[in-house]
Amino acid sequence: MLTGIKMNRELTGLFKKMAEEVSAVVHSSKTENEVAEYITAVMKKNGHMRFAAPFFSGTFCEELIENGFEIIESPLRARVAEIDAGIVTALFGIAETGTLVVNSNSEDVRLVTMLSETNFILLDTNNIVEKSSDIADDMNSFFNKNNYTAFITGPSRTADIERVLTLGAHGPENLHIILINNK
Amino acid sequence: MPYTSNKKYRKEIRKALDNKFLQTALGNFTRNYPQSRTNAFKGKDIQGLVNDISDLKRKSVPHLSELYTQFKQKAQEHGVIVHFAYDAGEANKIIEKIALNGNVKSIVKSKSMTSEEIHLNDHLGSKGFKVTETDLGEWIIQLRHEGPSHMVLPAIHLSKEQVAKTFSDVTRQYQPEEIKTLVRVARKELRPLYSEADMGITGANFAIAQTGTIGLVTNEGNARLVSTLPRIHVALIGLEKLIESVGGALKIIEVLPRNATGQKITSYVTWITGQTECVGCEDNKKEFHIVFLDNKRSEIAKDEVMSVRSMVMLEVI
Repeated sequence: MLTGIKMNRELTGLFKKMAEEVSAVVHSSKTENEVAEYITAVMKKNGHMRFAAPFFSGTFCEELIENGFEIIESPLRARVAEIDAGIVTALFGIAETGTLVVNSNSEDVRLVTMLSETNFILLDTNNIVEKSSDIADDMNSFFNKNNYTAFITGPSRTADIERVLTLGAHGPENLHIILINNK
Repeated sequence: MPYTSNKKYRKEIRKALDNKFLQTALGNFTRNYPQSRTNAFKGKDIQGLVNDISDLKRKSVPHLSELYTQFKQKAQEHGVIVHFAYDAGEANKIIEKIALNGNVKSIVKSKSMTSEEIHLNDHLGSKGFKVTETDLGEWIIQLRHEGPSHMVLPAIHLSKEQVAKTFSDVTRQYQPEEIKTLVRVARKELRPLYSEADMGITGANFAIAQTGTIGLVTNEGNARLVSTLPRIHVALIGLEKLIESVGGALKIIEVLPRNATGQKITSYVTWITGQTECVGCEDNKKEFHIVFLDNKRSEIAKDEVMSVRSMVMLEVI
């Protein structure tokens, strides 16, 4: 029998491998400060200026502003054409397929994950499960109320022209998963 | 276009068979698809999965009417307006009426083979609504006034050169014969339409009776925009998509993308239960209609040979 920590490490490894297989970039950060630094570097590299972070505040946002980025205020619906990049937090990760489970009841969460060119999603490695059936009970309880839940696996893609795989169809072209450990 | 004679039909077949591009495109597809499917199923107990899906369908297909009642009650509790369409004509009329009552002018759609079945776009177009397909393949064939040639890859019969020509015409500027650029053109052209549209129409890959949830399995991300930005959402769903539980839906997701596109899972699986937030709408809630289409599905469900076998087939494509 595997110990909790060892099992979690193996699940995290599998999650990373599967997410990378579908062109997501997986990065680990230890502190909020490190997350902001990573985002700054990716934004600069991709030439992005405007950032949406509907459920983030405080020093994290201040640091991004300090680094020269504009934070787009909610509601995002009014500024759909301006979202270069944005961040949301995942509830779970599914290791078997490299999938992020994101509660998207908030319209702003949906818009960030749909309209950003570069989408950052935070995932606590303690919330990685092996397969989708492991969260069936959780999903059942979500659906007791009005709910919009998204499984996100890699960036948006299409193969509609000559079956050639192309990333960034209508949604994000780049998906960066930032692994954190809150325990 | 309907064929008036056998001779004309044969001539069309001959022409298609002699087409060099179609020979290459479909030849590559026939060679590559089985390989990607095999890769996607690697490590999976295929026969076990087939049995699971058969069991699931055996439990749901003979009970479509009970599942419908259960779904309707749950969805209504969450503010959804549920409709039942006996046939194609009725489904078209229901959706037209929703659009009229909602003072709708423009509509965006994500890919729905059920809407192709009832020729929904033709109907709404003839009533003066502006309907735009947003799935890349569906948009290309809509611009060219063609029908889908494949359920998963509706524009597989077209070359990048043909698409470049179509997109050059639409944007009134030269577009290179380069797939990456053509995908960007579609993204750029369609983005503003999601915000302008009054109504979004999607299909659904399953409808869960126990919770009143619908599920959309997609790759491009357009279905998520179609179900989010317009103030009215209409989901058109074949009655056979009704299943009992969340567990069953998760099982379907394990099989469907592996079989359809050779992916372990699609980029997006979207689960919608009831009315959800729509900023600026009445009470900040989206007007949400679900239209179930029978169109002889209940009759097929009663047929010994056709029922479960065909419904399983419908699930894996």
